[in-house]
Amino acid sequence: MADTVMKALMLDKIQIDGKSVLIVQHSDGSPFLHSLLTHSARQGRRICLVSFNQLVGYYHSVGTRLGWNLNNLLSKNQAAFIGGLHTLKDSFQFHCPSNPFNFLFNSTTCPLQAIFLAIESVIVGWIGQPFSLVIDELDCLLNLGIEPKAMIQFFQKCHSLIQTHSNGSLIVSIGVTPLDKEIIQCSTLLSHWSDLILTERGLQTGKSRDLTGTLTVKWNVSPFSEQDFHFKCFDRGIKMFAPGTAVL
Amino acid sequence: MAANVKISSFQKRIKPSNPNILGTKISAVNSTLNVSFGVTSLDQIIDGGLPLGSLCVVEEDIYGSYAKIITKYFLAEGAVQKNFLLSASLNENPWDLLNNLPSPVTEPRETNVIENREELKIAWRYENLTLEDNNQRLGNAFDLSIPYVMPETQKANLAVWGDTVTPNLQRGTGTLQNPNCLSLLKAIEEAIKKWELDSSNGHNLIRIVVSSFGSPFWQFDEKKSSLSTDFTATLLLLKSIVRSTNAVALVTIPHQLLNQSLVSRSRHLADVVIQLKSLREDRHLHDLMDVHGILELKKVANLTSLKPILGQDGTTTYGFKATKRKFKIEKLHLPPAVDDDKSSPDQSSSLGCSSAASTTNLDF
Repeated sequence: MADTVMKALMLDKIQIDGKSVLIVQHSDGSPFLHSLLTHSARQGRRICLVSFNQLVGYYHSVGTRLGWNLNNLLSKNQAAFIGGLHTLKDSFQFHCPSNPFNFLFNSTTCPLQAIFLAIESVIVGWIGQPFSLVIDELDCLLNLGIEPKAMIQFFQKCHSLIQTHSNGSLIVSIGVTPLDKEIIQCSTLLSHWSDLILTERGLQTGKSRDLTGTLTVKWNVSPFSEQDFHFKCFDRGIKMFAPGTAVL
Repeated sequence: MAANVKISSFQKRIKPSNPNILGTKISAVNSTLNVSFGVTSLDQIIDGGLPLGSLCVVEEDIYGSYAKIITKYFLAEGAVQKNFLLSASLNENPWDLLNNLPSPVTEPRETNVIENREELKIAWRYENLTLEDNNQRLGNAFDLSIPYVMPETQKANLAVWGDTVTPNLQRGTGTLQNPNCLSLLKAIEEAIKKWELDSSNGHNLIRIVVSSFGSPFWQFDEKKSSLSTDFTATLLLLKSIVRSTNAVALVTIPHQLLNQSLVSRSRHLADVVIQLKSLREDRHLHDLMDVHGILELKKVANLTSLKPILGQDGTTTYGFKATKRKFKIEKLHLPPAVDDDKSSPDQSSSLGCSSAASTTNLDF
């Protein structure tokens, strides 16, 4: 089923190397981030996963249902996990200056520097090999008190990291709610910098058993296309439909 | 003889060790350990209860009275299961909540035959079983009118935060500055350490209740140009604490007093979000005479797979009834659209679809 997603995104024909993908989520969960993670793992790319809102176990358990094993990759040093709720808890308990979330309890001039240095040190070790830098729910930084300006700068630094290592790709997801103007502004800015933008929305009429939501796929680089799809999430993947063909 | 003996590579599959945590049950849907809400009908609509390690946000009704009932049920269920309980509140004395829990009762099982039920031809033995029997329900039934007398031995399992005002709390120097939030998180951390719940081999869990989080008593800095980060950062830190220990947290928020973008952010952070709306809040709801309010499942996150969890029967809106003895959630039925006014002879004489003679805007 993951292949149908990649076909819809045209990533079966277009190489993801050197490209940045932004997933704008208007609904809960991040199914397309997991699809892209699965795609990266299947292609044998190294994965640097940065998370602010989940445990590593969550990505592992969803990943095993989609056909890849994060814990296995982590033990083989083919993947790295940065941040996560466990580190967030440690930041409260130990107040360690090297903790990426130390800015919550101690004032610093560059709050996101520790996270960026952690990412950079991982990626420098993978020079010459294809890799994906995946950042899940970047908007959580705003919840932790980071200014939008600092968050955009963090994205730009990660983006430039991809540009300098041409065999890397950047995948970022951001959760957006219509009432939150700050996040909407940030997502508009990030869209400007990204090559592929996936906008995921729930159904306007509520929730349904037959369909989970709609996805708009927009390429800012060649082939410069924009397409709409409907999708349904299953335990083991996502099924894509052309609008109107879901229950046929 | 001995040389001919072949050793098979077959190994009996051993069932993974059951963690046996008090008051939990493995979900049949996604294999998570679930904890009962205390309200059986609420457990049923969210697939068997709250997953262990989850953060549930309850958006209070206008005066918070129904949300308080839900927190009482949640704590009472924990008291019956001998779980550790922590109640935190700045609006009222947190001991009030713990000292007025409803008492468990043995509820007669409903043996109503469901209407329009299909006759089973193959698995006919299961025909007379109720849905409840199949699910082996997790929680207990409670009577709100009888106060629960907690055994003395169990009082060591209780902790509170917010009963004594400590004016000398220090503000944080980082992005999380609110002294009340820092003090609350510290109290939770201390309780977890005291009861040794941070190890994975624990056989008990802690139920944390934070009442009316974000009310003016919490003294959030509303003058800041950006949204109050103390609110969201505390929720995220609370989530990080409960996710990595044997704990579940229920936070009620007075969403009508808060900035709506703050509410939407809290929805994004929580694992389960329930909104309560009493009938007096919305005049359009007055038609629903047989319920006392609306319960809406705003979010139920699936912690193990991509499949979204919908409520029972695929709906997310339910009605609730709160009587003197019991709080119950049921399917929402709209009353039949019967016109109360007796049609006057003038109206009855008008043509069926003609709007000319009618005084209302509706044609039909």
